[in-house]
Amino acid sequence: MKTPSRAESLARTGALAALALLFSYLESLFPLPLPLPGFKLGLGNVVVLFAAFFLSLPHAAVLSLLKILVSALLFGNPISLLFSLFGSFFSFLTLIASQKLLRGGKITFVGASVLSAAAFNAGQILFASLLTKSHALLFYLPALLLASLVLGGTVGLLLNLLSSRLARLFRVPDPLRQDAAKKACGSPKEPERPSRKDPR
Amino acid sequence: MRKIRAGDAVVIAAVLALAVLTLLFSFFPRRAGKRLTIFSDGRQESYPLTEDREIPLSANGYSLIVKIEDGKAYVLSSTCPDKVCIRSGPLTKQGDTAVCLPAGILLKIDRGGDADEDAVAG
Repeated sequence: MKTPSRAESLARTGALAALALLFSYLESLFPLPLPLPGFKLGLGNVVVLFAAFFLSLPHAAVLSLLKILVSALLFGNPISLLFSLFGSFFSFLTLIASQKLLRGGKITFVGASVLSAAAFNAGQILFASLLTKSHALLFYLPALLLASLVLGGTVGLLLNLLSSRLARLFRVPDPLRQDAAKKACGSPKEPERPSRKDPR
Repeated sequence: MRKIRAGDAVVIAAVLALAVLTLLFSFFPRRAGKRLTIFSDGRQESYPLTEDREIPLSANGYSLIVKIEDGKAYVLSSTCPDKVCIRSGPLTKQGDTAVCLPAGILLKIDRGGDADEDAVAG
């Protein structure tokens, strides 16, 4: 795989950002039929997890921020923006660990997505607790964690199914396959994938 | 297509365990509350549950009416879009809460007196 040009990388990030927005839009059209508002599948996370695995953590961070800011402008309000930012910050912290585990083949997107969703929700509860200056909201944590399992798990399964297709669509190599190919060639130590520059 | 690995199961089990643990935590038997505390805009005000009254509140452009009646507190009406606070139903026990996130208002039952800070487990 030749190293991509700056333009190619920029175009790819833009297309991924657009995809994330499309997912957010679809989600806002079909709210989940649950007794509490605010629960959503987090389809936009598909793009962020994809970027963390196939591209780099900076790519994932930029896409996550773009998704939050633009979807708050289009479908949200200032308070939901703050909640998303806070939740996504915690979500991103888990992504740092998840990326290593994913690339090491220890977990798949299901585990990474569940972790990310759980951290997102825990972060939002933490923010709500700070906002109301009370720890009483922690009582919602069990429900939110169970929701993270189901909703985050669904997103992860979706990504497990789709990631290879998405990778071909966006012309990025699969880090796992690359490693396997290099091992098959008998190279004693697989070199780090060349990290691309953050396209900002 | 990626097949799920053992690591995924570990993650799922860990989150599930945390959910069950926090759930158990909230199932501790709770005593009847004595006081309603309303947190709004960083301020807090308390009302005894023994005196019936109606408390009008407004914050962030929303108005709520909280009612205390027969030792129970509940949100009678609210102009917020979700009405989660109303559906939280009457609050009676220590640690019972109702929130209106759009308005940033939290209702909480505590035991009154000075030592209400240790009602963590509720």
